Amino acid sequence: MTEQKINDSIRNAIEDMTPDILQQLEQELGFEKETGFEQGPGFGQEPAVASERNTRPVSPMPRRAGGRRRIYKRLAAVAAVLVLFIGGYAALDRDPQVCAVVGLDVNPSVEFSVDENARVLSAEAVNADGEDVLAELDFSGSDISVASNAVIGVMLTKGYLSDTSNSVLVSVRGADADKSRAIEQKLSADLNGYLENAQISAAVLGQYVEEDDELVQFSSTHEISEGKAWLIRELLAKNTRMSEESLLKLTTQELILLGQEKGVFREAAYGTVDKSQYISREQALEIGAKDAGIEIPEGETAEQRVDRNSVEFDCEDGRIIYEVDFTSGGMEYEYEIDAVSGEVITSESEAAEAEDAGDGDDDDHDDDDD
Amino acid sequence: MNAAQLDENLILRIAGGDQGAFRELYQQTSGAVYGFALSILKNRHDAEDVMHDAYLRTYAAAVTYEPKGKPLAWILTIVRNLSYNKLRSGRMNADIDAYHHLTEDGSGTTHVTGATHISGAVDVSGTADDRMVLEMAMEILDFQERQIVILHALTGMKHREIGQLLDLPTGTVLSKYNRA
Repeated sequence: MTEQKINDSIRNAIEDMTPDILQQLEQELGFEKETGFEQGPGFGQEPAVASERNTRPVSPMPRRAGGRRRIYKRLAAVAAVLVLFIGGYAALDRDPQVCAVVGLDVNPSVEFSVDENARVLSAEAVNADGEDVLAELDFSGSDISVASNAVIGVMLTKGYLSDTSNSVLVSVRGADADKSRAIEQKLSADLNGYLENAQISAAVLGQYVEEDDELVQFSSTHEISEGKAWLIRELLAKNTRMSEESLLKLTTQELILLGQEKGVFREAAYGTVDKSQYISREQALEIGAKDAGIEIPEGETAEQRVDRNSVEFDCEDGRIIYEVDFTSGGMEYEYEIDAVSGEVITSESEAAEAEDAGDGDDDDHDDDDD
Repeated sequence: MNAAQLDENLILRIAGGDQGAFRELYQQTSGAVYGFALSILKNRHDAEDVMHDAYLRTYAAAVTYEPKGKPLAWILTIVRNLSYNKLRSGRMNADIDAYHHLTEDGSGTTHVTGATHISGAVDVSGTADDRMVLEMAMEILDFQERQIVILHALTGMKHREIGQLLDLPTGTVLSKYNRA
């Protein structure tokens, strides 16, 4: 046989033997099925017509166990917290085609208007970093999952997402609550899957936002996205000690951290915000206890030496702190400790009130008069 | 699939989230990917595992691709690394039809003991001859020769490019190819 014929035979044989796993791959990657969600014009070509190679009918592949997640070490381990922002515009004074607004906040902030089929109608940058990200991409007509993957991909490449800066805020704003929530659930799952495949520990958090003129006003005054504005408002509602001023100084990631802490997020949630830069809760409690003069012998924890304690993330004057409360020896202590440095910012103490001592320390002798 | 034909724009589009581009890439490269893995592993199940992982990895790593005009080589490098990992880890699938035991002697050539036909081959009418040629090739050729021949047949890559992919000097590739 000639060399050419041998080559042809080899090629034919292999191409004939090659299994068709495309469907399985698409499923694992969370692709849309081709029917019903076409790529819009200008964003993608129709997939190649089946060549001579794949003339065999697709045989049903055994589904691999769900636990078959592959870890890919090519990309630096980047953790991203994704909070999905899909908003729905009331059709009244906006473009009637627009059904929802999807916002992605990392440091860069972008917002997508989508139609009722979750296809992108337009994309806008909310801040300068957002413009940097959008500059290279053209989304019109593509599905919101595809567009979001693309944006996240660019953020990864450009370094906006990293080990320490790992949070993405996604908010869903829509008139139709059920539809918005459904879109948000799906997009959360898609983005989470995409990032997991790329070995990114991402936290994906969704919040459903209601349309509000005041919100729009607030967000444009302070030049932040509506999702971020909504999150700030939620936090203020939860905890009056946090001031609006202070919260506005925080990064998206810090806001999400507080949001998780205070139970703001009720929607789909994946993963957690990266906390590697902060001291641990146990360390914070220990610092407070030691400052209060409580002895902690070697091998014991502060938690064991105090009667009750609560350690929560909070915010003071634009920085993330731990609010540490504990009682010991009939006294109540309250500390604010810088979560990064461990520095004690404020401290307070007072005699424990009689009703508060619910843990068995009800000894009347310990009550002091102020 | 001719290596020269693969458009590296596909990879850039995949990086941008274009699902259609991924499908197209798959259609154009699946034979080369599978064949290359098979040439290293000689086992259909393993080759399929590697193929699966390679495409997932390609999708995830598309954002890191730097356009250099050699998209197929980039993909096949992924395949090669995964295949070698599988070889080294010894996690070869035991096959119902045939048992392969690959050993390496000092010179780096791989001897096949036990059954020597490609495990799991399904005979499809009309291609029995082609299949025989392939099996013969797999049987006679040594480890490196197999890779070279299959790469050349499936991708049309030049010897120099194959050399780069396999980490062999071009001269070696040429002489091995001619001997094969």
